[in-house]
Amino acid sequence: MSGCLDLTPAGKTIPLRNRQIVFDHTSQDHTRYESLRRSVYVPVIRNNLYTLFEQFDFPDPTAPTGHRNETVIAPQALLLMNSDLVFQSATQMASGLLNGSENDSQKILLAYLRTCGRTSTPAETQRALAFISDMSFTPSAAPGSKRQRRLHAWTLLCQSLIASNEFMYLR
Amino acid sequence: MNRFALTTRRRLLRSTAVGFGQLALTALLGQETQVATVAKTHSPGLPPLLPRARRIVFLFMKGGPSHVDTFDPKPLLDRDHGKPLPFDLPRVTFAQQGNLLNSPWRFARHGESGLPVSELFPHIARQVDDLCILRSVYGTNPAHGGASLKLHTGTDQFVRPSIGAWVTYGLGSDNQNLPAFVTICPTLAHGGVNNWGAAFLPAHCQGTPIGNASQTVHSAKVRHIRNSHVLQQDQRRQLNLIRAMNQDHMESVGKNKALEGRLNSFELAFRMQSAMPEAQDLTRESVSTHHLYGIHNTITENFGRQCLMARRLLERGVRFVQVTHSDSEVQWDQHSNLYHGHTKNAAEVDKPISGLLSDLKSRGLLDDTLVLWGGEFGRTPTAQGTNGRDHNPHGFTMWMAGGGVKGGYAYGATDDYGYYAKVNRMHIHDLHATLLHLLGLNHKQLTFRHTGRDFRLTDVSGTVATDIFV
Repeated sequence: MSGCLDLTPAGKTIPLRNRQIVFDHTSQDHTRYESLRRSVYVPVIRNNLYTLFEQFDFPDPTAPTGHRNETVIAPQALLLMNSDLVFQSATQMASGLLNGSENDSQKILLAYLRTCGRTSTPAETQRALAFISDMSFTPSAAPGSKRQRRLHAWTLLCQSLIASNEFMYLR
Repeated sequence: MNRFALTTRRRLLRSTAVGFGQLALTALLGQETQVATVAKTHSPGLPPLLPRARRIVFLFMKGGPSHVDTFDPKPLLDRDHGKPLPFDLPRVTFAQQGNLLNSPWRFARHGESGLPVSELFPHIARQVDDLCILRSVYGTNPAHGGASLKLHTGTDQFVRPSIGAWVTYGLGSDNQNLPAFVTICPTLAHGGVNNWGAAFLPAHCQGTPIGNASQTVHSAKVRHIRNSHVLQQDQRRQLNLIRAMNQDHMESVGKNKALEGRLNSFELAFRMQSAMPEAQDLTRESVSTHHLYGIHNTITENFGRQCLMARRLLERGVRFVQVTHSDSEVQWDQHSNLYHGHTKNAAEVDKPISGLLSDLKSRGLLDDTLVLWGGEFGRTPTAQGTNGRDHNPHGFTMWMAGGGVKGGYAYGATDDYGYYAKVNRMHIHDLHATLLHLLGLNHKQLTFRHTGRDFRLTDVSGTVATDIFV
């Protein structure tokens, strides 16, 4: 979606020595989850779960679990609003869109196509365009050049799509 | 609306615009749902219970503090030190146990009540007239994980809602900006997240953790509470956009609890961004308050900060606050070196807890705040190795203070050596039934339909210990 996915197959899931990820008496935390590879390569470190897993009801990895909890809580919203991972993905997605030659309405159609698997309705396109112009030209928008403000506005739009129910929930 | 006024389901639903859907929304928006609960759990004509407490703070001593060395003195342990226990051990014990081991600490009577407290807790001892000491608590599971889950959720076998989640479900939130159930530096071991989970209860009942037991509370934060990239007013407009997108989506797929919940979870998250750091900011407290909680002293600093943060959260309307005393080990678990371990642990919590009690009292909060202290079990009066004690779920001590319980009062008793609960036995289910009762909730009527039957925190048992009420 953001175009950052690393499709390299196979290989080491995390660039660490064997057992380096396991806590010992030093309590040094070597765990890193910065990989952009497919989710099948994300390790499940039992005593140090990935935040995204932890917030979204990953079952206890130390025991077989027949039933997964499904919760909807404010900390999950905080993650989507404030985590670096989500913001960076949205920024990448926005830069990708801005690098294209389409006009703004077409960019919005594309953004919906990538996140929701459908094009935006005329009303949705209008709403998104209004949001972009609102965010790009008001004094409260992030400081910086016109280009930076435009990227910021599109980033917030992409992030909104990533955080939306339609993106998060299977129909 | 008068909280205690009788209301019928019909009247309640008529008075709200769209009936049940509105009830769910109200709960998710974090408004008080007492009326809804009363309407749901009490038949018309039956008066609801009068709540004695509005909120709870649970001081969880992870690992199992020894009752015979703290609040339940056993003189026969001195007399019979080194002799075998004169009756049978439980069929299952956690580890091999030896002969009786006397307490290395002296007990003295304190306050007008004259209740004995060991020299491990010199500060708490001065407030013994506020304590309601429950000396006959018992459970069944002799391992940390099971016992901790039992204490927090009422079961050691299944994933069930935590007591904080049940309380939130029953009473709703008292505030608009913070979660109703917050757990400060909880341990990630021994049940971990299930100890503050909502299981099948609605998602808003779930506890929100501030950090975990391996961190100092000073650095602990609710995850992702700050955004360094986006200005707040921009984020507000972004959330308006997300809300509009989600409303369109909901109209196309139909009403759904999770989708509605998600709509509101963003709003709560937005308000939490400013409310939570404010509640956690202890620099707003005076120097004398810091001293009261022992924050100036390196030994008591961390737990002192936890307790002071708990008071700030309670003050702001958080319904259930848990404060966990644990390092990344199992803090109170002295299978050996009882003297060294318990001395260190008690020193860390004694001053902060006594500070919390007196602070709540001086602010008038102790009247309707229930303080609960204890671990997942106690320890054996018999020795493990030469100088330790094993796990003992068969009889141990917890104490309460404030919130409608008798002060300077000891309830129940263990046998002469402190192994088994004997008089006025109080099972974990009984403890839970009593806690809910103090909050004005009938434990038999606070139910949730799941997989075809009604579930309760107390399963099919639980007796309210009315003797301890003022």
